[in-house]
Amino acid sequence: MIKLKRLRRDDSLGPLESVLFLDFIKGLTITMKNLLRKPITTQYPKEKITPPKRFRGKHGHFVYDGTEPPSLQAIQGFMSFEKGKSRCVACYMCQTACPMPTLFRIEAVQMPDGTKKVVRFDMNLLNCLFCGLCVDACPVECLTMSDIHEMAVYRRSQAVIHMDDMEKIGATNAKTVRELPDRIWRNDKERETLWGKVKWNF
Amino acid sequence: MNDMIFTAIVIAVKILVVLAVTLGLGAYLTWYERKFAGHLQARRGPTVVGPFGLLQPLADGLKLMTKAPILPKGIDTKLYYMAIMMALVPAIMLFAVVPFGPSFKIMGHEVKPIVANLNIAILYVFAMGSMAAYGTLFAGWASNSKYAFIGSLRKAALIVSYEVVLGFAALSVILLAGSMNVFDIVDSQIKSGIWYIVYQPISFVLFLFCLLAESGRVPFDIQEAEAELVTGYNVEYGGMKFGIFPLAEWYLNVLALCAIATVLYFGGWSGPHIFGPFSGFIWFLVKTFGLLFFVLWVHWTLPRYQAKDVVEFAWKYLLPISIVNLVATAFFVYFKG
Amino acid sequence: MASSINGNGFITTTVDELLSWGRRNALWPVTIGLACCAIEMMHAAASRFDIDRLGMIFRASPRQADVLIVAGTVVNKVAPMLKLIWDQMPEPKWCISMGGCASAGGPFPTYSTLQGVDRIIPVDVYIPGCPPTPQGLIFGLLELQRKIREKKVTRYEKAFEEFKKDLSPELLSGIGV
Repeated sequence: MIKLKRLRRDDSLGPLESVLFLDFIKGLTITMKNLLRKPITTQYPKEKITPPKRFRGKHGHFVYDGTEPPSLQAIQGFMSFEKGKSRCVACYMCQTACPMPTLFRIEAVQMPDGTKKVVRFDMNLLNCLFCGLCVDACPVECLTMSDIHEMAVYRRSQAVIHMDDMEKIGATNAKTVRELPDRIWRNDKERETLWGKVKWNF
Repeated sequence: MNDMIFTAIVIAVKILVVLAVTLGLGAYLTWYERKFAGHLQARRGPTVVGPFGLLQPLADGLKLMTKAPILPKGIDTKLYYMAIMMALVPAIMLFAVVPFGPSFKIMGHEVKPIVANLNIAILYVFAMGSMAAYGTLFAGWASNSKYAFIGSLRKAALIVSYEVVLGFAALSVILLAGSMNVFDIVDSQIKSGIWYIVYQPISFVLFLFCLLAESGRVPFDIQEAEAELVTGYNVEYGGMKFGIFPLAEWYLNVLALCAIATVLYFGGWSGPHIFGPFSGFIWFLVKTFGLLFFVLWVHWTLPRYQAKDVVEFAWKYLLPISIVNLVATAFFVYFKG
Repeated sequence: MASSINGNGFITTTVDELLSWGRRNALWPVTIGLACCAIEMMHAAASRFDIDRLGMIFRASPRQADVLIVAGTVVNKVAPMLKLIWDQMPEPKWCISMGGCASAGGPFPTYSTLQGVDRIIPVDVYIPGCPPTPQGLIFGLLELQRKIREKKVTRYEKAFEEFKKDLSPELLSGIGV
């Protein structure tokens, strides 16, 4: 014969508490404290939050202006670049890395002197996951992502971005975002107010 | 003859003022509730539409009035339209016995700022409160939908049980005051100098619960539990037909019952004369809106009761407490004088 | 108040202006959240980015709502239900397709996913993103308000006119439009 032990629930209300509605009053004081607090809304069109440095937003192309990595300088002889235009080499690495088969539409032609010129680079943002795999795959540091996240459009064709808008984004927005310092706080004192004292164990 | 014309004009003016103020105030109470709920949740309510969002009720009203009228298939057309009127009219009629202040003199005649000075005013309040159930019942039955029907049945059960408790709770105050006329109740509070809430705190708490239940406010708003019933009885109403239901139920009913509660428990328009000649009116408004603030505060804090608990609460707990309170008050009045 | 109705600094008071002011400042969305984008929609309605400032209350019943925000992947099984909800909404109604899945099938080019909700419902604003940030969704809602002010789109035939601009002439003649 097993002896059953009855456990007392210790979260049920005592008689005094249930008559005087003490738990209701506790709840009401919490909301009253909230009422007297400053609201935490960011009023969107008037006040905008700056996204973090590595935010994955609308894509951009860096342009051919003398800051290319060595991987581009190696094949520079085979490409026909213009100063201020995109430095894409049409290697199709981004299209291979992308999880979506129908997102990229890249075309390149052979110029009369044998060099290669990219004539078309369209990205259909309606299918995009914004995962960033294409940016990691680009071997010449051309494709990049800026912090633009306001992309609502009225028609489907307006959501396809072409090489000229991407160059504009790369030349202005993505470059300034890259040049921000890596930390989101200016000094250790500011970090302490945000995150508390950090205990390093080395 | 002169007397009759004067009385007729006074009554017409009173009716117009009450209608205009209540309908306008009902619309702006939606603004007040949204701002209040916003600040309670650490955000702001409507701010974009006008300065401080003051034109938001106008935009809501304009939009609701210009929506396409829809009539679902299989509805009972007469009841569908009658439900709207049955919800709105008792809520407005409740304002006929609300006294806004002390009586004053105009051109030699004494005028009381109340539309109808009935001798059975509190009984009239109970009657109009019970009729508020019909709007919901007709709406739920006439919509050809099972969710609406369940919502309206829940509301009917709620109103029937809480009406009984309301009767017994208010009856204690009427015993103390000796009459059902609102002016007599307030005058007896002013004469004795003590508000009835000091004598009858239990009765006030019961009246507050019944106020929340009759208007369908949280924690008793089981008739429009969104997770279960998809807005309950007004699921098939669109446009302004829908707009009338929260206006009548949530705002006008609550405002009128808050006013009656200040008359019964907080001494109506009594208060120190610090506001000049209109201080009676101002104290009345302060007390009514203070109670409304409390009702809204409770609405946006507490969760909702379960449907099986609400009716049990009324019949098993509140009713015995109110009967004991009534009997104790009766003994007190008999032995006192 | 003039600048809140019309940014030009003077008040034009045709009835159409007034009605479009009322309609765009009191847009009431239906709560249709199908998948992950629904969480971002909840974020947009919560305390940090509040869409109650713009006057939008979420109503549960489609008969009381104006705008259908399709948030999430639309599967073939759910598509008739979504069409039923769209049909139950009373007339001045708009649709926003939020996120990649609702606009064009997103990352799921399969047999069971509807490749874009505009195959069954006329869409007014497309919002790319996976999921779009709450600020992106609010920007999309502001674009819808601008569309209501400027184009006064109240019937979906007008939205279909816009959609036809994207189709090629052979396709249009092929489907007999």
